[in-house]
Amino acid sequence: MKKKILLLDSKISNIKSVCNALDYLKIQYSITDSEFNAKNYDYLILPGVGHYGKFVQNIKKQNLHKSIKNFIDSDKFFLGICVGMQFMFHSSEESENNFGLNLINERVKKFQYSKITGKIPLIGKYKIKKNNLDWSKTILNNFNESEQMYFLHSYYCLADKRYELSQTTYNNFNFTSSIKIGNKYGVQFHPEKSGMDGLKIFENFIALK
Amino acid sequence: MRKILKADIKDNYIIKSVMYDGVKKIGDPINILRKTEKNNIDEIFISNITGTLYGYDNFKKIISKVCSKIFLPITVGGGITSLKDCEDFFSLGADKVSLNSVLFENKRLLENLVKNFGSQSITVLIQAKKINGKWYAFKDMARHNTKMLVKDWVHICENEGAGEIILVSVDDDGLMKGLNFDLHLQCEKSNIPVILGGGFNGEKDLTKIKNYKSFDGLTTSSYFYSKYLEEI
Repeated sequence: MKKKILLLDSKISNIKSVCNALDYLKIQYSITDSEFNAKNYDYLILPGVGHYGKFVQNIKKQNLHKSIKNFIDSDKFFLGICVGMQFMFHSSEESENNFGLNLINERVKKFQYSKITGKIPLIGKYKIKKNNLDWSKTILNNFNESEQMYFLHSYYCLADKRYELSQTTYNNFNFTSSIKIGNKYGVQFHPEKSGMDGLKIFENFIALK
Repeated sequence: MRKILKADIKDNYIIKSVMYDGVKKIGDPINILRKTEKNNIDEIFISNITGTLYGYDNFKKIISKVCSKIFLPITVGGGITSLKDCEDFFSLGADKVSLNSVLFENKRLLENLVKNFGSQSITVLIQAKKINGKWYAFKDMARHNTKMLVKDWVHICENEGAGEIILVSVDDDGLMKGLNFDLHLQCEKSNIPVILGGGFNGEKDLTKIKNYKSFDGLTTSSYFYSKYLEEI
């Protein structure tokens, strides 16, 4: 049976880049910027770039919140990218009174100059490393920790080892670079901007059963 | 250390000048940019140097094509003067836009763009030239001295929300005689990423630049073309 993939346009993302990546991989998908019927789709991708608060506001304004919640409550496959992953947490220091899906009950925090000896935002390619979770049959299937993914963010997440799929180090500071909660995945980095290795993330995601 | 290929586009081709002067045809944008990922390049900065309206439309077509085939972060620059210009490029798939000359004429533009698109998508390009021992910011393809000291301009742009700065030494551009590390004093107080360009000459520079906390990356053009393209 044909896989039904939906890409959500929060109007605060680099949606075209994700479309370009999926097109290149010849993955067929639908795209919407407003409410949808969760029953009609098996895979949901939520990219997000920029201000967390604006992202959450848009999700509400565009009537996407309920549809996303319905999808999340089912056992189907979800992929949040960058702010899309941060949205899977409780809330963010970037914007009070704007709440995420709370799949992980932690706050997204701001990088502090006192804790890292580097510039903010973090920009560039960094390795992703295993923690407790096995990578086979996940979006990191066949990855071997040599791959470098492209990151661009000022806020970071720390997930419990039950959910932390990969960890990344920036100037001696460790943060969570990807998460897995059942069939729901989040990546802090941009797979659509990480060359051919990044594209494997999308291929692995669509291959999940 | 981020390694960015700076590709200048004129009409349908990537070209290269020396010290921002002259035009030498290098080749087809897609064929050249296809070689970036496998050859140690992390990001691409594509600059439009065709000044005409036809050139602008043509440039957008090239950007659209590049974004659909190359999956690296792409910064677009050259003649961007408005919110609409930025929207156009983001909707084609560009990740960041780069501005220079217009910021000296339109003092509110930078703040406005940052407000609309977020710091992470706005880059300031500084064309730097040393005159009588002081570094000045130039504009209009390095033809006019804005009389603004680089040091001060870095500070102003950072305050107004620029996400990062690309700092190019005009007199070292295209010569492959080494990056000009003197510029580190112009941006040592910066808390945002600064990318150094002009004159990159390979491994030696790659080692040297790591000694400077001021710099988070470098740009290369001539070195990349001479090393990875068959015939220049």
